[in-house]
Amino acid sequence: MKKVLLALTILLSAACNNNQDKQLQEALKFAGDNRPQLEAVLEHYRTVDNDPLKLDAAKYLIANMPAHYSYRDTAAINSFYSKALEILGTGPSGDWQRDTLREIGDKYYAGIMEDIIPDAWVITADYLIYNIDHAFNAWRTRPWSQHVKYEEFRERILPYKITERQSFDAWRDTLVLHYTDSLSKVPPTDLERNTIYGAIEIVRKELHNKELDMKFRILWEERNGIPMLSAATWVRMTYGDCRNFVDMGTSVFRSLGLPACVDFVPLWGRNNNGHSWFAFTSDQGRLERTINSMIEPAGQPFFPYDRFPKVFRATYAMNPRILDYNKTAKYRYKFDICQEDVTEQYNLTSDIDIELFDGIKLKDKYVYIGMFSATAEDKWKVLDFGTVKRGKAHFEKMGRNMLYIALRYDNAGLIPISKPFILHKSGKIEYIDLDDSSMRTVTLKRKYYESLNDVEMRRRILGARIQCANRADFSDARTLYTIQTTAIPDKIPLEPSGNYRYWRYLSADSTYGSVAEVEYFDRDGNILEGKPLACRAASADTIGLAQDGKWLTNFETGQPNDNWVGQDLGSARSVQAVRVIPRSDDNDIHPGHKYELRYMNSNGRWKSLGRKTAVDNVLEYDNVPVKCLLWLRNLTTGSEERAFIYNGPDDIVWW
Amino acid sequence: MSQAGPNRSQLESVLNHYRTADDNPDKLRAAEFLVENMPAHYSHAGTGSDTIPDAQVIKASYLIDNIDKAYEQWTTCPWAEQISFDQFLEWMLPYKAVECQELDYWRDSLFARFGPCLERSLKNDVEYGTVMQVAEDMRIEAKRQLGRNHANDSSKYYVTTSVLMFRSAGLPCVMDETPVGPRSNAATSWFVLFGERGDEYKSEWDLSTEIEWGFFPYERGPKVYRNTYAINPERLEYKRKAKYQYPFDLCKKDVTTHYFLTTNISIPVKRTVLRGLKDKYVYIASAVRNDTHPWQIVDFGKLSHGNACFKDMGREVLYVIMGYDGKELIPITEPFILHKDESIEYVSADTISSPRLDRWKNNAL
Repeated sequence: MKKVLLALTILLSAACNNNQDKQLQEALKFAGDNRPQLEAVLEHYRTVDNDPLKLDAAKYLIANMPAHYSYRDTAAINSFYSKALEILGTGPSGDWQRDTLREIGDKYYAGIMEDIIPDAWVITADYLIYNIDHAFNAWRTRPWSQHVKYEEFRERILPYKITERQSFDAWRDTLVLHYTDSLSKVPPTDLERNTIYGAIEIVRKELHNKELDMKFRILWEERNGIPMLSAATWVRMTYGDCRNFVDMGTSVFRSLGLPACVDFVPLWGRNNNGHSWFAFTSDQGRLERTINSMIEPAGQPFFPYDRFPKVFRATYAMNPRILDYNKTAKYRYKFDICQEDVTEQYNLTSDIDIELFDGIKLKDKYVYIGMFSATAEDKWKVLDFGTVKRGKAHFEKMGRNMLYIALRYDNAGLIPISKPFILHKSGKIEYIDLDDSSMRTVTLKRKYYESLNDVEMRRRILGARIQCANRADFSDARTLYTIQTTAIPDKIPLEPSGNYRYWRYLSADSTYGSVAEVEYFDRDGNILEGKPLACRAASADTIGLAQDGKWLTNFETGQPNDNWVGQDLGSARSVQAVRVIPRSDDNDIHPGHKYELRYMNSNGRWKSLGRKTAVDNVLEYDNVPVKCLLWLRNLTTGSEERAFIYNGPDDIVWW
Repeated sequence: MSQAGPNRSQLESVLNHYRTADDNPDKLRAAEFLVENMPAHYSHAGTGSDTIPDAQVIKASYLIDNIDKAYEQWTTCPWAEQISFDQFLEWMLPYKAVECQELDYWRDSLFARFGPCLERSLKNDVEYGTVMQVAEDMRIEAKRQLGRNHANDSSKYYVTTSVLMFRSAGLPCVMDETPVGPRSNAATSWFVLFGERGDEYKSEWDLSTEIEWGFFPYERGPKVYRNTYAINPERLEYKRKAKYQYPFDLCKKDVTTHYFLTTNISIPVKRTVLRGLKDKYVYIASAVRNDTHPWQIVDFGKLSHGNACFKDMGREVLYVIMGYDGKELIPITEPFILHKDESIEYVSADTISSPRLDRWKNNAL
């Protein structure tokens, strides 16, 4: 029996090697004219530096190289980086540098991001050897990486790049030089320094302090222009999105032989965006995850209230599952080949089989799983592909506690082929049935779910008083209204009070005076415009924020108590009503904005239930199917919108 | 059932209850689980330190009350929805968390004391009703009421209180521990909550630190065990077959891999030593900083082809292996360090008290 097992093991590992060998041969062929460079690397580790492990590492890099690419026009990108080095760290702010470089990029380097060439065609033997030697040296000599297994080393230290389009420069040396001041100050005998956890934390802190010195800013906006992807610009990077900073920081770790990787959620379970962070396996064997680029250390709760439909790890290796998909799919949806599905390390998952609509005809064996996104073109963002098995759509390792839909993809685009369904925390699947046999009235107050912070900020209006006075110091103030609930009407009618010149919103204690808007209306419903007044604690730039018409900017002071903000109407006036807008995310029904309520019909398509301009802070629709998935769009502004199920005005479940 | 003696009818009536009056297969299976594993559990018998098996004293009404309440929470609390039936049995159902715990109505009394804070939690669509929110609100409330932070001698008391308090609110919770004593200020036991994404939430210092804000990132240890209600079948087999009886607790599950990098080790034993051994069971002891008792037995293993084999041993720990010579346990290998890179370094037994070896002696986490 044992012999059989042994034979089987050898056979299997031979199959593995064969696979890598086959891939290697394909890659060498793919390299075309550049093949001698790649072969020179293999030859180098057979003769000059006869090291079987390095040879295997070289094979690994070359075999997986066809998926990787760089800028074709290196002269052009290098001239952009020279320009960037002149601008980074200058001018008023990181935002200004970003804007300036984006302008330069748009003007002189348009289309450069798409002008790419496979690494295998351009990489040199020297560059690969430099990287392999440097990586092995770090792995074999740094005190914290002695126990790291080859398989982990290969993915988390060895690769010559962390992201596509990265310059082929001496990044390992540059980064080691820039970020080892703190490490060198800790005695080499220090036990914590000699752990991955400890060393990463020392380096991260130094890196982040240097970012702070440069007044860096993480900019979430989509258009940051041409990213900084060279060692020289990395060490001077003052702006970028979370992925840019995580890529840079992870490269710093790798250059020091600290195995780290980049994990990302392409789409959060309940909003339109994704996020990237760095992770590493500690000396204790635990996957340590970080929350905010290089800003926060490991060892914090990892988004305990958020939902992860899929989490991927950026890899150097090509994913055989996606390679196979690319070879066999009739209509190819774009999936990144170099990523590994690690959802199970972040969420409870289920393999699911989804019932399809009756009579669905598919042109391909592949199906797709999508999640609602108010900003996606088709309103669904594809998370993964699956296959049809026994008439059902089969998807694997799906994160629980989220709403999904099965889709087909062909020359007609992305089309729903199932009812939307909730994969519950328990793993149970609940289909959202449509019942339009009767209609009902729904009353809506928001278009997006509400977080604890929203609720807490909203509650800061509780106890606030609306007062009027004839004296500017409000020593003769009369209270006309006290806010006792967060469910206030859009316009609070005031008892008739006669004419007063000074009006104010006097907030309760412990509220820091927070309020987004306070507007005063005359009897004709016109807004009375006065000169802003406020308590002494209010800074000059905050005084006008309660009457600037922007509901996302707030009046607020640094002291918890005795705050007020008001207006000098110039002369004694009568105020009929007052509008108080709490500090919020501005996802409440906003009077004056145009809305459209949509429901999902039996084909999985969104259908309008009518457009309305809000005249109050609630919106009513009386023609809504008794059971359905709903989506309230704000046609005027904003993108924070989620699908929901309506069980009553105060019982809405957001998905 | 046979251990229950005259109390057998109480246990039988619980099972009958879930076959007839409340015909519910899940609850019946839960009752069977409690009864099947009851022989390992015991309570105080009257005064003094005498104990009596739970099976001989537990009342049907008490078991039914516990099963009904735990089941109700599992099926209705949003923060328990992620728990499978098998997990429910360990994380929510048990009528006790430690031996000799009073068989009182702790679910009611602890929730009455620490639960009302949850009524003040602000409703919202994100944090509200999650494991983290409910647990943090209760932890802060309990810390406020109990008024004390962690202290070495009472940590177990605080942790037991936490586990029971969390379970009283339907939060899935268990207690993990190290089999070695405390080093300076570290914990020997702590609570673990099961989050909705499958994370095991821990708190470094019982009630005094925020949940999930790090967990001893630099510590090492030989083993971590989870307290269970279920009897561990491997330990039961040991108890039945071993010639020497080390008092391993039957209700522990090895969860070392949740905390540390581990290695399955296979240590050769000299043939001359092997000949003197009277049992296939061998023991692995971890070095602790105690001059009179420098070794703490943490697990048993078996001899196989002249090697002493142990599963999932924590690295960076100084160990020695012991065997039974017919009279007592004796060391059967030289002490050795299991290094981080899985290499094994033997050290001379004479130098065991040398301060040079201190960093390999693992008391607690």
